[in-house]
Amino acid sequence: MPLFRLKVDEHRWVQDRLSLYLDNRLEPEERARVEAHLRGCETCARSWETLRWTVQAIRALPPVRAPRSFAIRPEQVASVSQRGGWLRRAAWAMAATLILVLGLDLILSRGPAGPAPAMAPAGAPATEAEQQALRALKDHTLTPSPAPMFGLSVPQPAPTEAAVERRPGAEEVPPQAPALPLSPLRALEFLLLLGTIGLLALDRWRSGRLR
Amino acid sequence: MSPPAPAPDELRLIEAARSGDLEAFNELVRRYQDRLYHVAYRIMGDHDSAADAMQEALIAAFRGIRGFRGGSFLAWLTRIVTNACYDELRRRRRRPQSSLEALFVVDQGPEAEMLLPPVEGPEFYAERQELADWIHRAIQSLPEDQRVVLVLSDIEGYSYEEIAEILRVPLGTVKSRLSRARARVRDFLLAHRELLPGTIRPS
Repeated sequence: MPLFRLKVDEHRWVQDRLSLYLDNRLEPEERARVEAHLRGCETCARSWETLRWTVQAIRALPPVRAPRSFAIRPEQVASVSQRGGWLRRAAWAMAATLILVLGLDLILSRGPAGPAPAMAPAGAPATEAEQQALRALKDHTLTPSPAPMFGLSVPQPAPTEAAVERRPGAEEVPPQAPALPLSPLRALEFLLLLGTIGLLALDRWRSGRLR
Repeated sequence: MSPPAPAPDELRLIEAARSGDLEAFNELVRRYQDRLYHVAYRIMGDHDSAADAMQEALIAAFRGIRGFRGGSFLAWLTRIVTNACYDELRRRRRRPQSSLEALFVVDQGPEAEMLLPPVEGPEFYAERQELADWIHRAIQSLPEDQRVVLVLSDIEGYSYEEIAEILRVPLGTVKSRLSRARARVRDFLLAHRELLPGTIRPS
């Protein structure tokens, strides 16, 4: 029934434009079409009357006064300006950590001979235990063996002793580390970089909402 | 109903506020706080949330006043208040127990002392108050996006173009949201027609 369908679509078309018609925002020919339809269609005319009544009632809502003064106190601005910049400060803190980690990575990547002088504080002599551990570590790295991989099934005295004596700085250069596709340090650097960019972007978005 | 033209001393106050003069900013706040509060109240639906959103918005506005690039200062403040309302509504959605509470605690509309004094007789005032409560409920039943456009248009009297600018949405979006919002409020009121005060219900 194409005629019926056309009729239904005309109701829909008019209903969709009643709000614009009310605000006098229709083109002259559209307005004429709406008015012609409203003259002949009781349903849409009633729809129009109730819509007009509703909008009038909304516009007549009594104004609500602010229940108190919203003037800002100086301490509110101070506390918020500290809180407000936290995103940017977190981003800078993360960037600083990234630089530290990059520095550490650079030092460690100089090879097994590097760590001892680089990690020890200037002038502080290495302890006997440290020297022993380093020696054990050097011996161990110079004679590569599958031992650490199967450490549980084939216990070997020298590497085990070295592992026990090892200091935190020396732990960063296990013999199999260079073979890993992504070292934990690299992963950390990547995460820190992503975090820094993310925080800066969030900070920019927040300040953009004030423009 | 439309935003007032900037008063001659408004620019001076804005300039002072931009250079950190909090008292100048507060003078602007005192000028506009009733209108801004009305927007926040109709969007949030209750006084506590409206006050929270206002407070947050005005502090953010003072901090970000350098972002104001001229035009209507009231429209700029309205934009920040509207954003704060959106943030508050989003936070409320993340706390399901609060929205559950909201289902049971029906705000009774503006308290009498917050209304402007009635000009008409007491009976008419009571009926008007009852109708106002129903309209308030109808507005609260709208989806957020439609509610905000309806409040800015039919309560605050902003033009379509101003609303598009305040909300940073296309003009067509403003038109369609407003059209849907008005139709929904009408349908809500018609559905509760028998509860509306007799002399002023839709025929």
